[in-house]
Amino acid sequence: MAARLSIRTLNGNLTRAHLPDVQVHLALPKRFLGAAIVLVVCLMALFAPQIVPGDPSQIDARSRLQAPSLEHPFGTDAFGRDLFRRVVHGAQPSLGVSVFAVALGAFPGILLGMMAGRRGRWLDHLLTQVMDAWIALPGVLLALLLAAVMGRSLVVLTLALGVGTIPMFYRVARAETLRIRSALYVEAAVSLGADSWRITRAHVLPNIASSMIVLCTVMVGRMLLATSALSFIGLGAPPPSPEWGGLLAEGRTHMHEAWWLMWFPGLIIALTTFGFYLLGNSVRDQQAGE
Amino acid sequence: MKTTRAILLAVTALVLLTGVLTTGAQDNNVTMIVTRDPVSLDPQSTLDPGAPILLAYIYDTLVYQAEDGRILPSLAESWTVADDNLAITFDLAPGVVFSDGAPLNADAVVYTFQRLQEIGQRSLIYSDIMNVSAFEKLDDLSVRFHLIQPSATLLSALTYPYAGILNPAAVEAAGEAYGQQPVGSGPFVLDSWIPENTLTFVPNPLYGGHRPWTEAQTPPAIDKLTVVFSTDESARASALLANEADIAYFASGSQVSRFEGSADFRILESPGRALNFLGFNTGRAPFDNAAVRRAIGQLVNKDDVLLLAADGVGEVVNGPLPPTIFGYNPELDASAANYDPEAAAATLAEHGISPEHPVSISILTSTFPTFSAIATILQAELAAVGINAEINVLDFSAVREIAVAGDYDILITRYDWNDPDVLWRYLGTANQGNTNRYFYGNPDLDALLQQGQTAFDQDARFDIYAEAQRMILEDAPIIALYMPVTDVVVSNRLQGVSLLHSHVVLEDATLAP
Amino acid sequence: MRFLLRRLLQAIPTLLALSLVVFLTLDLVPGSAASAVLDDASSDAAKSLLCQQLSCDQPVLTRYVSYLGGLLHGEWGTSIRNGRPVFDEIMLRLPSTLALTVGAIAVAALVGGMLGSIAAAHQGTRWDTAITGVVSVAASLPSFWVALILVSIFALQLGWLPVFGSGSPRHYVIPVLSVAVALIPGITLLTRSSLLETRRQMFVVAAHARGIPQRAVFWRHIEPVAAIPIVSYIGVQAVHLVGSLVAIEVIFNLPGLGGLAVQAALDRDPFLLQGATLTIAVITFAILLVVDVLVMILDPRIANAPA
Repeated sequence: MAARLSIRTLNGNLTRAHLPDVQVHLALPKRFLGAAIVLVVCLMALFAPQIVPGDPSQIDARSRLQAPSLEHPFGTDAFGRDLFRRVVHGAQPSLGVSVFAVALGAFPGILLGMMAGRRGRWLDHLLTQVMDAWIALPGVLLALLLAAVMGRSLVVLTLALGVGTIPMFYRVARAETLRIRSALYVEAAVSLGADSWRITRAHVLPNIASSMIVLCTVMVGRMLLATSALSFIGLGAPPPSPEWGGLLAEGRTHMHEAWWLMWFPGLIIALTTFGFYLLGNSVRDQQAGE
Repeated sequence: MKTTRAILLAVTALVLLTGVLTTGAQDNNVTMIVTRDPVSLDPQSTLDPGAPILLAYIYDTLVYQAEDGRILPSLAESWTVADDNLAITFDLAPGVVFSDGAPLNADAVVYTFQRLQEIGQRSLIYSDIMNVSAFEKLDDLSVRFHLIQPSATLLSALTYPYAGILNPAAVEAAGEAYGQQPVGSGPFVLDSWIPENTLTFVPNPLYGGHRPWTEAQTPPAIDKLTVVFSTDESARASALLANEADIAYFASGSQVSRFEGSADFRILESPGRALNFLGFNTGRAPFDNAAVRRAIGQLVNKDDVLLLAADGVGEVVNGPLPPTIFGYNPELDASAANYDPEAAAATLAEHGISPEHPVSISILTSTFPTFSAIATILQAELAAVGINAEINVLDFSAVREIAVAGDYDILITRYDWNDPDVLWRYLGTANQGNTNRYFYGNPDLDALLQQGQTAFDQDARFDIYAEAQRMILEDAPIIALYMPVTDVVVSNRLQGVSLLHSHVVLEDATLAP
Repeated sequence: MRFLLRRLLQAIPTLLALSLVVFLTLDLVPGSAASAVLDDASSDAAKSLLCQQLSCDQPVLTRYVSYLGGLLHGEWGTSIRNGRPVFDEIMLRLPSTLALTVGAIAVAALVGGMLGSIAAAHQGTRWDTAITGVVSVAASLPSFWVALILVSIFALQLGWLPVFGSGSPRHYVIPVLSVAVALIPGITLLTRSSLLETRRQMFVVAAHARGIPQRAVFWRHIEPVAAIPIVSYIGVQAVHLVGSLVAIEVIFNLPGLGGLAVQAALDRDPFLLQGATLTIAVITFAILLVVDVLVMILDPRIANAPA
């Protein structure tokens, strides 16, 4: 009995453990800052060629490593490419990888988590064991093996990151399902003879949907950070992709004579991640308010 | 909550204090940072390109190769080649002893190479040594090598540290563990080794200054040499700047520029014997056509490649051999496909490739530093003429497999060898599927390269390789880019340091107090 | 005790499955040990020698079974790159990984716990705003970026700390701080919200009502319960840290397990990769187990539950 309880308690707490409780106590921005940052980044991703026309991989040996100026607001990189243009054009691959990775992890993770939470017993045991092993497999290793099979690409990056997050979505979804199941109205539905799928559809899914949306939003930010770590150790998108993690990794070589190559990509990643965290929290606060 | 704040302050103070109480002690020790850890210090069973620069601290070779490529006496004071080119006799310098006091004599030489023939399958010079049918001891200080067929490459193979002379008693005593307990006749002996972390060397007290390229007649003047490993260029630079190291290796110029004009450091350059180049998959369109391959040669701006990929550290090369390898011939530059993007675009258009009729190809390369930068430049240059290249960066091992399978169009790679025979290894028909990954076979070239292997007369050999290079330039299965240069940054606290083929010579080194 | 035993037994099939996956994956990956470890110019004899060592002519399942057989006898195999026993290689890397992980978690728990407590105690004040604001921003920074900035400040500009290698505890100060910066935000915010929530709960209100001094209520009632989610959070983070510190290991030249696994995969070194992965997995299970036990100890509801 003790064991059963402990696992339940642990997982119940994990729900919160996985959700960074980011808060900023500024009156207006708390509500809108996150949404505004995310909106701007999304616009960059959609309309990069209109915002900064030109080819982001155009090489120009003569204008190499130039400091920020009116002509090049973020300076130029080691290949003489305009860093501002690359940052703007990089929004699409960067957001793309993060969003698709979250989708890839969330769908199977949540589905399996709900199944485990709903059915319990052997299925729950089996899935939980599998997911524990899954967590133990370092994400870096997964990315490395995938890259060795398929080469470095945005798709591999997305796959490696997405597959690595399945256990996290699984654990949260499972714990939330357990929580909902034990709620009185669900027990009432069960005692009235409603079948299992019906309960899931009508009661569990709507109730965990909100916390899952919050988790997904926050995870997009976290995927941006994970991408940059993978790029840093050479597993990112192949050149000449302007994906942000790659920009940061490239900039590092010249960080001592060209500070802008580290700072601008680093700041845009930090700002976007921050934006997604804030958005996630304002969504949650909104729900809590309702 | 006052307590909490007090604890917080105390912790912060503690952290800062640990920081303040730290200043590196200056002593008579030298710390060197290298890029790879050696796997073993048994010269005959190491596969690791990181080992040679360290093996040279422990072992001596019969002959050595000067920076200009000449082969000069080392342990062997002199050598004579028989008239039929089927025997070489080496006369050893007298009085050389191993660090345990045993004499370095003809027995040691015979033992060394017989052992290499028995266990040395993993050695890079195995095939050259297998060409010797017998090692004959003539007297205590002379040995004759009997060859199966004349070989122009044996002597240069013997200059590699892999041909270091071993101490028979020490090898037999250590058995399997010899790679971790090496004994040689060089200026240093291994003191301790924490695998994957640090190696320390101390001077060999019996070293008598027998190395002809150094002046020292006594053991080295430093107390200890510590060798640490780091794969990260900027970490190596930081360690130097933080006074945690005295010597560090760099493969590209971006970090080295931090030391230019510094009063505390100087930069030593070793040209090495490597070449970075593009290889084509000549087995499939569009690069099955020599004219198209030559056009790519005209399209690539090698000066830009050198500047952007290696920060200008290196030398642009036109022919298939870099200036440091025997056979390099600047007269051949005229027949190379030199930078001319208009001509290239015109040729490609004749063959149906233009921005209006683009083709898609794949560029394959490994994670070796600078290679993906080269790929980035090439990709941009190709895009301008209607060749859309996808860059495939894989790890080292996967690149080999995929290249051998022919699943690529352009391969960005390098070789590192000390003899023009490298052309046979990379372009000889017999090496297809092994080191020849370009599906290139040319019987005329094969014949020339095989002649080169057995030609003893240096002038004749030079002419043979000039002709071979002309053929390669014409057919363009590979396009040379540049010769990389290894930069070694040395602290000015350390004087009397020089480089010999990337090995840091420390015999004459002294430390400022 | 039965619970502990059962958890240990449950781990075995999972470990087996994980090792099988790693073994099979390595077999599917292009590139072989021979092409990774041997130089271009190596003879065919060398390649067949290596192949013999790895018995690469046998089917993958046969090799896997014989590997498992060896494992039962405490035989972890040898690394193909340097011929050293895999067990020794792992033991060389373990201290560094543990020092970095444990050090970072300890620092993060200490600092995060304090910041969170301060913020909770001063809820709604300027202190609260400042702490939550700063840590929220810190949560958005890539940790290797933080590491590089810390290096350039503390090692290069100020010269206080070494940046390179693992020779002394001082070498771990900057790496531990860089990792801790990524962990502190979560712990701080969780501590804050958990304390606030626990304070509102019935049993705490009851304790106050009974006239128990405020400090005693905090330490005896609030802290243990509030610590439960924090312990869980730290456990999950620790699991993620063990194998994923490769970037930090590269920057500071620390010999760690993550880097070992990556190098083994690059070298297609089957036994070394197996050994490293399994060690990481065992550590993962151990952490999850410790978390469960701690939660049991901390949670009075569980401790008092009928067996």
